[in-house]
Amino acid sequence: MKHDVDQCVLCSLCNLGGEAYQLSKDERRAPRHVVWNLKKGRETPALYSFMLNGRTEAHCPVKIAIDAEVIDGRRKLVKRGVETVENKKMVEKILDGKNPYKS
Amino acid sequence: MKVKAMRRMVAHGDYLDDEESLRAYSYDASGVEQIPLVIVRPRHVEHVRRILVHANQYRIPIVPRGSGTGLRGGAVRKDAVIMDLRGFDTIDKLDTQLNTVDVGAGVTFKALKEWLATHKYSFPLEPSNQMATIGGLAAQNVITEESMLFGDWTEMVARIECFDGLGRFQVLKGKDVAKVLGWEGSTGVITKLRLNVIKTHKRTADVIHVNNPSEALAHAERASQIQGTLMIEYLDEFSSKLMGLSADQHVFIVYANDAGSYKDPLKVNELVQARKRLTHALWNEGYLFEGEASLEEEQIERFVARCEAAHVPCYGHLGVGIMLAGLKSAAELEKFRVNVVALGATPGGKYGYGRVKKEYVPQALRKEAIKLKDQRDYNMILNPGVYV
Repeated sequence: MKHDVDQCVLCSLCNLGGEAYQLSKDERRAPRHVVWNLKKGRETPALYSFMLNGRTEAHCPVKIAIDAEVIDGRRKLVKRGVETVENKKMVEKILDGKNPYKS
Repeated sequence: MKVKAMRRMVAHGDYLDDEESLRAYSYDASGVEQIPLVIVRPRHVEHVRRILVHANQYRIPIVPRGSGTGLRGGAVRKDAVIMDLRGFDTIDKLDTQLNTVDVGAGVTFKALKEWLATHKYSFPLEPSNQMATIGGLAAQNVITEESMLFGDWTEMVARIECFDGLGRFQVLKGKDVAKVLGWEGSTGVITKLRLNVIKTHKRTADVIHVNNPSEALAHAERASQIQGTLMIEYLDEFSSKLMGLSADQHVFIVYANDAGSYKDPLKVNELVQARKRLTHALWNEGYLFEGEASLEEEQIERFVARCEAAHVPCYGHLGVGIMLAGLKSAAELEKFRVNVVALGATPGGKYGYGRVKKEYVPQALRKEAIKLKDQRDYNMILNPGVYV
């Protein structure tokens, strides 16, 4: 059973799976904060640095599909024109008919 | 300007006033949301002292905070400086003679548990949320299942290093730790604790099927007479099912000796962990709000009957007189609290009162808080709005 972000109880157990957060203790990078933002309908560029390795949702007691929600959030960001520099470069190369992975 | 001066009082990068940081510290697990003024992350006692002295001079409210896992909104406040204490994250000095360990306030319970396990020790008051910091748990004086045998945090903390509201560094020992523990950061900022730890011991358990709460209470009474009874838990049908038991009412008893019929340590640990995760299992079933009640023995039966009638799952610590209920909405939770008060009981006691349950703080406790505030924080800068 998978729930959406509205079911998040902010327990912060997902933070156990956040490698960047564990190292930095930076609350802005906390998986809980990413989910909180999504719950509020705020897709922030921090979604691009979220690791989609399933570790955060593995710790979620409510079984929220965090990775899928993050991917969905990234889609919304792209639609709004908020992209990473690397992503923009790749798209430009594709449009120019070049290899997107070659620097 | 007065707050901005705090930038110089902590290390580079430990003064945060950007919008995203303020949002990240604007909530905790209680769901209360209030945007703070700034966040400071001290990593040394001198940082804490400087901030508190400055805050006193200009009457700036300070809210100490750990992982933000509190369920009562005690670590959130608008127009206050949030002091993130997770920088105090060292564990050292395990004294195997006195069975104590010195721990920084910002160490998470999980980190402490794993560290102690490597030395074949444990700290018995295990919370269900292991991301909570030791400082936060002590400041809330969180009651756990094991409190029946080991008491609360004031009994398991031998010594604390802390600051009072005026920025004076103090070392409190023995009964004096109660001047700070349990007051949710409103009477002191804890930086280090000396915890009483125990050598990893044998645990056995009993899972007893009962037909009603009065039978459960009779078993609890018998179990409480046995020396070394660690926890006595009541489980209604729904909670039993979530714990992997049959859908009947049960009493789950754990002993710190050979008294139980379940002797396999793996099985006992599995049951204990299932009990610890019961709240999480209820969240997964849509019961996102947890109601709690401190009850006298004679009130427990009526409490369970009312929960049953309202189709509310309930369970709890018969050993310490705290019962819990799973609720689906904030409105249900409010109704639950009204019902608990109508029973003559207190809707709180397990996790403190914070901002969410401030109105339920018993009068005697409020009086005690005022007395302590007069002694330790008469300028009211430490977590104002909690207790007083």
